[in-house]
Amino acid sequence: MTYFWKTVVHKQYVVAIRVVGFFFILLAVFLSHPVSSASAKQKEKKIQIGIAPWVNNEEYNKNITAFKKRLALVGFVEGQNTIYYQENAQGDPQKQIKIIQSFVDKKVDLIYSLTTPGTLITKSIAKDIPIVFSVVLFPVETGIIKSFMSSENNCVGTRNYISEGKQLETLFTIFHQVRKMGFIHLKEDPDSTIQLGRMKDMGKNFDLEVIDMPVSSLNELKNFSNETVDAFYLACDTFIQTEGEDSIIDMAHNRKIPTLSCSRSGILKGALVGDVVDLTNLGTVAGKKAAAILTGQSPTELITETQQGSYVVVNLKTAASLGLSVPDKLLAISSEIIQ
Amino acid sequence: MTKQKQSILEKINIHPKKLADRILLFLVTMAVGAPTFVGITFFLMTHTQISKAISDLTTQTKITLEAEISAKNKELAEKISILLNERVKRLHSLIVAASIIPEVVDLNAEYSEFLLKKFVYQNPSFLEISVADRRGQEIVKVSRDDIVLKKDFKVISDLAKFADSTEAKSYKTEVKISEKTGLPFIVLFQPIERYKGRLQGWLIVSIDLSYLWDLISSTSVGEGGYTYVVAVNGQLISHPNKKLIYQGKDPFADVFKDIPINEEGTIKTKKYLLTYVHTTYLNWRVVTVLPLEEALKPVIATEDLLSSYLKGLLSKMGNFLLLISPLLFFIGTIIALFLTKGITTPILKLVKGTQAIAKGNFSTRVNVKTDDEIGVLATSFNHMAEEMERLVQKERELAAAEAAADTERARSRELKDAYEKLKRTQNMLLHAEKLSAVGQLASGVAHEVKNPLGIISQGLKYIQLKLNIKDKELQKDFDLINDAVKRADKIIRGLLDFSVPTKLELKPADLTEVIDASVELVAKELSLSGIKLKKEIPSSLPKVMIDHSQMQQVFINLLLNAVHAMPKGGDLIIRCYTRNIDEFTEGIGRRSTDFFTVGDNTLVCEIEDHGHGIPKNILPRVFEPFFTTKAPGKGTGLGLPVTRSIIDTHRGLIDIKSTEGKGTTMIITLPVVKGEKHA
Repeated sequence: MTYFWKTVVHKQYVVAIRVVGFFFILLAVFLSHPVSSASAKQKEKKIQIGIAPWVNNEEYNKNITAFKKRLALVGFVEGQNTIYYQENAQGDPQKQIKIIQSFVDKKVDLIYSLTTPGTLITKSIAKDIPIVFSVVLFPVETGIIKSFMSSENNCVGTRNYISEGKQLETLFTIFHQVRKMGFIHLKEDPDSTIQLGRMKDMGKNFDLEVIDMPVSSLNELKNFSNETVDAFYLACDTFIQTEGEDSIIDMAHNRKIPTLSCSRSGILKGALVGDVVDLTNLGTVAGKKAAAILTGQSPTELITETQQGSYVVVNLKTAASLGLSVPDKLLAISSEIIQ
Repeated sequence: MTKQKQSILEKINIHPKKLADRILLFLVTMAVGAPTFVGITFFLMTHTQISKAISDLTTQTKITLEAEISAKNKELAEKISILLNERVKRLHSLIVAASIIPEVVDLNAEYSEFLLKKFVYQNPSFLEISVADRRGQEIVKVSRDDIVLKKDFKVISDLAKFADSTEAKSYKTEVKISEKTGLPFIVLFQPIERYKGRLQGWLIVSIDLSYLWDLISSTSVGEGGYTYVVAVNGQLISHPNKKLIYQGKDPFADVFKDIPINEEGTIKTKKYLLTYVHTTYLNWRVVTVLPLEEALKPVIATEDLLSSYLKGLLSKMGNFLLLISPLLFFIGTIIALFLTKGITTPILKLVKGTQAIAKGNFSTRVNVKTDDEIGVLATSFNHMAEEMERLVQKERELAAAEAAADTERARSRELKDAYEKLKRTQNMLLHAEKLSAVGQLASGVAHEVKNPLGIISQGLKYIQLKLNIKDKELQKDFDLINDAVKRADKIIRGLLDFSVPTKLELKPADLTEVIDASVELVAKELSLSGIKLKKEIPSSLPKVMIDHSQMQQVFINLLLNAVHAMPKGGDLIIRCYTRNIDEFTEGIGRRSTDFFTVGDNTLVCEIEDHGHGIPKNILPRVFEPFFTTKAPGKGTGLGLPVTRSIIDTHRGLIDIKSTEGKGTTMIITLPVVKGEKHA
């Protein structure tokens, strides 16, 4: 047996034993190491959406509610898999900058931004986050998007535009004698400035003179108290839609002249008539776009939409107080009649 | 054994297992290699076969699944197609209804405008509706998005050809993209007829096809799939990517290039499974697009599962192979070891046998009882060994006889030697006895002679004093007598010193002082002979128990001897040192007569002269009394014996080393007083 061990311990066998030992180690490693599966469990991430309404307005809130409702319909339910951060800048650009920056810091998946001034700020800060906008009159002209068919950037949305002709037509259906209409709007508001120009042009077709009445505060309204106009127009800008509305309607009442409103809320408050945009519907359409983006589409693949058709609202009380009769033709096409 | 023989054996021993190694390696390689090769081949074959089976199976399943999905998607596309037809037909029927309203038939512009406005406002899919007379001149026009001014009324020249026709029928244009909205639309032309088919005018309706989008997109095709609709002219009507609609591009235009619009079927592209149907009324194509990856997800999943099973199975096989190969290696090694042992052990036995024989062990036999070639070799080896042993035995016997004779001779010589030695010893004993007797006799004589000699000496002094001798001759005689007396006295004293040692007065003393005193006494002799004295004595020496005067005599004796040995001068060295005895030599041991034993501390003093030395043959006799090499009358032959006697009484040793012609060294070894340390 000593021969056996001598042989085993011989140099060549030492090498052989080492090789076998190496095999065993390899085997042990091989067997002990479980096959690593690449099934990295994806943590279910909650969708974060930032909402910046710019100003506080009842109609805007309805729009936002509709937006959320539409998203919930396709599975993005608030409180379940979707978190909303809604912050109102109260029309303060500095505040809006902070709000949007906070959205960017939170790495929200999408920002829903209302109004032209608000969206312009949103766009300037959130450059890599998809932005769905609404209640913007002239997104192409103000540079928010390149065209309705393709924004060519991270923005897409819905606009609250009704042609100036259609708006004037509703007024003229009730009140033919209008020759001079005071266009009250926020001074230097981008949307209103464009709209004023278009309204002036359109007025020519109706033999109507559109008088520019820019204001920057309620006090400035007095400057136009003696202006001889047959009607007022409440522009769609954020000043009129928030603070200005009531005062202007009061002023019109006092002067017994009709008011053409750009928004439904104005008519509810006492303006005579308006072919307005259904902001709730606009919110729903915006919600559709947001859903498409959240399910993988790019804003450039979507179109910016305008309300199709009309939403005529007429206030019969105001008409009565002005001694005007509302023709059936108008009532027939009206979507809402305030009595 | 000769050197040549040894080197051959060494050579044999260098690699005694080379053959075994080779056989072992071969067998082990076969044991591991062959099954491993078979295993790997089987492994690869199995892998290929099962992979192919999986591939075949999945291909078959893919085909079935594709067919199934195609059928399902076709169903979906057909549903959409039907809905599209119905939707547009419904709009058409509205227009047909409008065309028979009397006010419209009468081409009443004011009423028609109100009516159409109502139409448009309530149906956003109507982009524009106008009423034209039978020549195509628009007389009323209503738009969904804007007001229409009279100046915008146009003449549709295409309609003029029907002016007097009785067969004017409703028709629609191809799908176009609106310049204003960028959306696809078609224009429907509905003739307004008075009774009996007389053409009154036309209702021209632009239908915004984007209102169909919701309908199309509401039906989802899997998760990553979609449906799109394209018109016969290639204009997209609906597509999830609205940009494409505006650009009017069918993304799969190339695929459908050669397929007529009214065909139905399924096409598989690299990435997608396309199912298409025809929308008969509208003459559009509805296409469902499903990414193949998604369509074949279950098959791919199954394939993955099977592949992973296969992988697992094969990895298990691989593991088994990995496990089995070391086992095979071990088993193979063990078997191979036994096999090689069977071959190499007899060979090694033979090698050992030859080595043993080479060393002279001729009785060696190799115990190999196999019937193979090695067995035969072993048998013949044993024969050879036997023969050799026989021869060697013979040779040995002869040698033994011779050796016996030699031993006999040697023994007689030894006996002779022993006898002679014994005789010599006897003589020596006799001589010693004689010497002892002489010594005692001399002592007695000396005592007896000493006193008369003293009287003689005193008498001589007295006579000399009394007789004022002026005669030179007489004076010379006196001197001779005096000298003779002195010499006799000296001899007597020497004899007495030798035989009756005076009592020692041992005191611990420094030997250096003794040496110095002795040197001083012989200083004159030294200088006369021109001898240079060198003292190699350490500054402090351990004290020794000595009798000062006796020891001084020892040194004087030795120094004078040295002086006499160097009549022509030279170096005389006195060297002292301490020595710890570390070996047994003459006079050192455990016997009772030995003064020293190993481990004792001693002081050694050497007196070295460079004189004529002492011849080797007389060196053993120098300590014998009355032995002298000096001229008769010059030496007493008692100097060294007395010296030795004194050293003996000090329990010391004296030794002599001498080389003829070079010089003599006297070595005195004295015990150091206990407690004294080495210098």
